[in-house]
Amino acid sequence: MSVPIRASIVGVGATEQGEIPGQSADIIAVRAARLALADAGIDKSEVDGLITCRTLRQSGTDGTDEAVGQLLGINPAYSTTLVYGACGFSLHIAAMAVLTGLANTVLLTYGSNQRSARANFGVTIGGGAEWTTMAGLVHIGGQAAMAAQRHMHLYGTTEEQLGWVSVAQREWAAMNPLAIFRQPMSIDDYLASPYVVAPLRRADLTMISDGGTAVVVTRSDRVSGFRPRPVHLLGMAQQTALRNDQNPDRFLRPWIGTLADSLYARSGIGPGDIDAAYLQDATSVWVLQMLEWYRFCGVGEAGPFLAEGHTRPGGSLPVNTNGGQLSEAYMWNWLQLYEAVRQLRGECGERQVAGAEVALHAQTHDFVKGAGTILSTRSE
Amino acid sequence: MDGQREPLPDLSDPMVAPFFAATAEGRLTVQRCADCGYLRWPPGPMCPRCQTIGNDWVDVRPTGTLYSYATYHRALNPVFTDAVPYTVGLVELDDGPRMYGRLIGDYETDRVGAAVHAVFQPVTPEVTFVWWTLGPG
Repeated sequence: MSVPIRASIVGVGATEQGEIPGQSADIIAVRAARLALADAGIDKSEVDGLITCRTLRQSGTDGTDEAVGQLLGINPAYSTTLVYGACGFSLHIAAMAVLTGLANTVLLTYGSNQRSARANFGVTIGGGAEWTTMAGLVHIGGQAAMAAQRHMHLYGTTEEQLGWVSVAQREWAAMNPLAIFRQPMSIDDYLASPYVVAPLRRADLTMISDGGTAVVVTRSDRVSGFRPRPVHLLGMAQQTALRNDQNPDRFLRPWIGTLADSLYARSGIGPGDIDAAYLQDATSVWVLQMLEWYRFCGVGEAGPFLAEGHTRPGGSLPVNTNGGQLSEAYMWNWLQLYEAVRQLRGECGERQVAGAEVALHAQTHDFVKGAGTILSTRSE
Repeated sequence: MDGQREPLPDLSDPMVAPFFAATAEGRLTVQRCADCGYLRWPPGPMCPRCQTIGNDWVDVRPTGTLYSYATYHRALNPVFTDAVPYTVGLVELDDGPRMYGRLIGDYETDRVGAAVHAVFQPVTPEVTFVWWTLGPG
């Protein structure tokens, strides 16, 4: 049987993370792009597809393919931009572009200066925003706290169990030179810290930082033209919940389970085959939910699963081995993709997951939609 | 502090005004689709179930069940600096729609699933907010 043609990642790059004053998001995106091209071992003239992403808080052409392409000095055959182009969704568009022949070599890049620009995250954006703001339900942390409170009520999940999301990721971050928060944090430190929006604490909420990440995608029959060992996309799935406020159990996001089942069916990979999982973590609650919906444990069992240490260094399911958005940087899961690729290539030094061959990259856009990808150095 | 007041509704907005006209009289009202009768929240110009444009406003019972809640110990938007600590809940109305609102009372122990009822809380001479408190009302 012939091996199917797949989309493959053949280059990754990341800038420094933290505070990058004086550089626009687009400049940071271009710097990340050049690092990814260097990793891929190609010149920018070989790029015939460009995908950028921007935030809802950017204005004008900032963050668009127009602006970034001009700065990077390329005329690719195909280009596009995702608003809220968080990584998993952008990655799937790149795969569609190379598998349909719209492009052969797609560069994806994201830059953010939201820390230096002092972006206001206290404002609710999107449907029903003024009503939620009037109620005082501001910042994603409030809605995540409601999701956590509901989980605790239904399943007896404790604050200590939830705390292991952040503590485990901090343990990983301590071994990652790129990570911003590397100082030790024990579960006692976590529990002793004050609430921000109960039942959540500071460590349960994403940091805000500046930085850039970029990725190069091609087809699996073209990977010999690139320097690194390729990482193939063995399966992709998405699911939306666009009815949003009208969906019952909106906070619990049960549709992620639908997504996961499609992903496993399409890829022929099951949760037990996954060596490392990258679960987008705007808040720790997202990780708690995705452990269940991606079937690493039963629904309602993520609390005990976390407390048993499975996601920690040395555990049975390493999760967010870069430290994630809670400890590494605010990169919308782009750095989790960067980390997944480098783990599968065996480049992660002290925090390398021994023999890692299959990784899950799981993205969500809050309560609206999700994207999951199975990544592997194996092509089938 | 200038510009640091809690947000108030725009009473010139036809999607907003009928709600606050009712709360000033101690009534809770939501939009009902003119065609399929779906009760919707938050307000909007089109029915999200059958896509009919237009609606009536109908009174609903000011009672419901607390789906979940969160207590802000820090003002994640500076306009709420004077309000913290405060608690916001999602209430499933006995008549169907789900609605966010400020909660009055003690939420340190688990109150998810508790019966709640509306408290009509004047905040300016023109604006009465719907807050919620424990008990069947």
